[in-house]
Amino acid sequence: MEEGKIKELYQKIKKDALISQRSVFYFCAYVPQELIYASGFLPVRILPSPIYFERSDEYLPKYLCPYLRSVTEEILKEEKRPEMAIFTDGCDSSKRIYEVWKYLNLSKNIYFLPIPFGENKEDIEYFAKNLKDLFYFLNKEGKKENIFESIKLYNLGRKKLREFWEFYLLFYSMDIREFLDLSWNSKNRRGGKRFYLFSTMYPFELIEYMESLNLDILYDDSCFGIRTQEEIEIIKEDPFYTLSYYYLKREGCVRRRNIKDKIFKIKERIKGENVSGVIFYSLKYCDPLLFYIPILREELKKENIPSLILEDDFTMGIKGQIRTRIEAFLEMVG
Amino acid sequence: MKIDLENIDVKRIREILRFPLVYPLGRIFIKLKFRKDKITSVSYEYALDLVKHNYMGKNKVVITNILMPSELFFALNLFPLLPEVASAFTASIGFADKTLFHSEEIIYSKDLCSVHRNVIGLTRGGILPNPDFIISTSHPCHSALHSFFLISQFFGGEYLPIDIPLKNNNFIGYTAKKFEELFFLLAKKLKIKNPIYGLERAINYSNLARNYLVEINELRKKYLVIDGKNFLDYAGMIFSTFGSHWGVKFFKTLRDEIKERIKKKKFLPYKKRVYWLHLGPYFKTDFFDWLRSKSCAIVFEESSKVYWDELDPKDPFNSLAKKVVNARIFSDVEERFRLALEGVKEYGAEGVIIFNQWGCRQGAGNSYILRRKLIEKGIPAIVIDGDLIDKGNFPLEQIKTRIEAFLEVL
Repeated sequence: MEEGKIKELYQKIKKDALISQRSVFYFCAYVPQELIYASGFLPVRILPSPIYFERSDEYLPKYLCPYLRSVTEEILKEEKRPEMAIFTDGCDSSKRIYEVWKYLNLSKNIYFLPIPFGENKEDIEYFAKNLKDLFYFLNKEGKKENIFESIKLYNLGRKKLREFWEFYLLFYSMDIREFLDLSWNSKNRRGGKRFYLFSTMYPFELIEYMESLNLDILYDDSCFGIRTQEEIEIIKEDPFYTLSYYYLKREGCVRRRNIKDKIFKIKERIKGENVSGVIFYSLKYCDPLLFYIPILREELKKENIPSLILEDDFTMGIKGQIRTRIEAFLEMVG
Repeated sequence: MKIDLENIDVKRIREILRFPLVYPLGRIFIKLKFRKDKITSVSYEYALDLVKHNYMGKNKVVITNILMPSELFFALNLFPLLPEVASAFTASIGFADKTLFHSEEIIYSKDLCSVHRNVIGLTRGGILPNPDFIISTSHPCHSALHSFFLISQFFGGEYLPIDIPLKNNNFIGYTAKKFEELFFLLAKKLKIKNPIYGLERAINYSNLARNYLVEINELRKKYLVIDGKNFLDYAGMIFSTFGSHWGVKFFKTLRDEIKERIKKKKFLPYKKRVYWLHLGPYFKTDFFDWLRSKSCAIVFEESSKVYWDELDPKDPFNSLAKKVVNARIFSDVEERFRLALEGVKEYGAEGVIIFNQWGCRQGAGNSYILRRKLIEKGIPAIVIDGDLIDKGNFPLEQIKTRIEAFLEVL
């Protein structure tokens, strides 16, 4: 598999998934792929290409999450009804866009998975209960033993992904067994300026564009980036508790309040890597991110790590801005 | 006397607020100034007491969000400060331009809810005291969780988030346990030996206030003597005072005033009646005067709904958990739809105005489909995209034109 083929393959997977009865669409990194796979379905993360909002504007105020608005726009334009979609209360936008999907009947089955902010024992149990409900919603006859097998497969996938993160797009969207069978060519680093990318959601085209400018994203610290690559440790016989523990405790989301830990991890990762700085892809209207960046940026300042904020609404209407601002940023950091 | 808000010396004012004498004098001033307006007088006296508790430097400061049960704090002799309410209040006195500007020193994005941008500006500008405890529920929105966390990081304070599950009685115990743990944790930190006694008192006050509000809402079904715009302003009292004697005093005064107006037949003459969803603009605007000039009254509003049962003093944590978990206001589209239908039916409204707060994902996110659902039921409905705090996001003339056309439909 060549790196350039990733997007092409992803587009095919997405297109097939739209009409497949086995596919479950999900949008939030708190949804365990392991659980969906063990229930007999295929988890497919939807990553839309930048799109102009036309049809979704009728139903969604423009200041909701541009990522989920783009997904909605894409589904409306495709005029297909996917088999199943899972939303979460990872953020307020997701809660409301879930309601719009229900109202418009955009998928045959639409599920809502609540996620706590807390990480204490009772929160882990609460989330475990929610995961169990999801599992049996997907398959009444589901066997929970299958979840452990699924965890093993996805752990192997994560291991593989750690070496070639460029393939994350496929890891979150294709059959895990097929993913593990893929062989790929190692990517040669281009030797351009290196950056650490921090965001929640960003379009794949951002990476393409940055690479065209000879900029190298060494770490992708976004919802589906490096934060999700820790392997799952079996901590209890109950697979739901195990998954709940993992998803609530891993490095994870900007909803988590682990600022010190986050700074430590960033420092560890960029140590000795000659990284020019941290680029924040600031997704417009993304509350968890917009409240988090100022805190993180303040901490980065204390550590003398330069950072740059690029604001966009998932349409990549900021290409010119990216070029100009990165040039200025590079001049500043030397 | 006009106060120059631009050049106000916050530090000096904070120093003055540490003098005990300020408060009895302030009380006399309020009583004299508002002697004919008992409702305003009580609400300002409450505000003065709130300031006394939180600015004299003698008590612990707790900040919390609008649906967190204030009973838990009053039980511990804490006087909860609701930054979201403070944000609306400062906008109403014309101070928000300055504090929104202050907020930009910390948060770079104007895409966030202006209520919370203003909260950060108020803290940054020293107008809100630095908190000791920061407590927020995940309902109705996550903005409080995020902005309060940011405050804890920049200005200190122990951050204690409380998860509220979706409406599901299976999880009442989960929330009740969180409230109980929080309550005893605070009691321990405050060295209160028998906190349950205070909780019983707070629950009783809360129930008394609730009964007055229920009575007020019943009277409003039959008589239009106070426009709903005033009730949008009273929302702060609903969110802040339950569990205290101030809540009882305020809602009793309001009930008495309504009864008095009914007795004197001071009915409002407006011909058109609308139900209002969400809150309204709190900054100075002639919008509501204009609405009344079009003979349109707000007969009821989402924020005044009593959606909870009487609290059980013998089972306080479960009762409070039910109150929050089952909160019907600012909720999902189905619940808001039912609320609007009830509002229209019970208060004789002919149409619904859905107010959208700029940047409020949870409140505005379902507004367009909510409007559609109401129209499908034959109820005229309109969405106004505006702002509670930032007048820059409130295109007044455009809104007037749209509302004018809407009123013609009624």
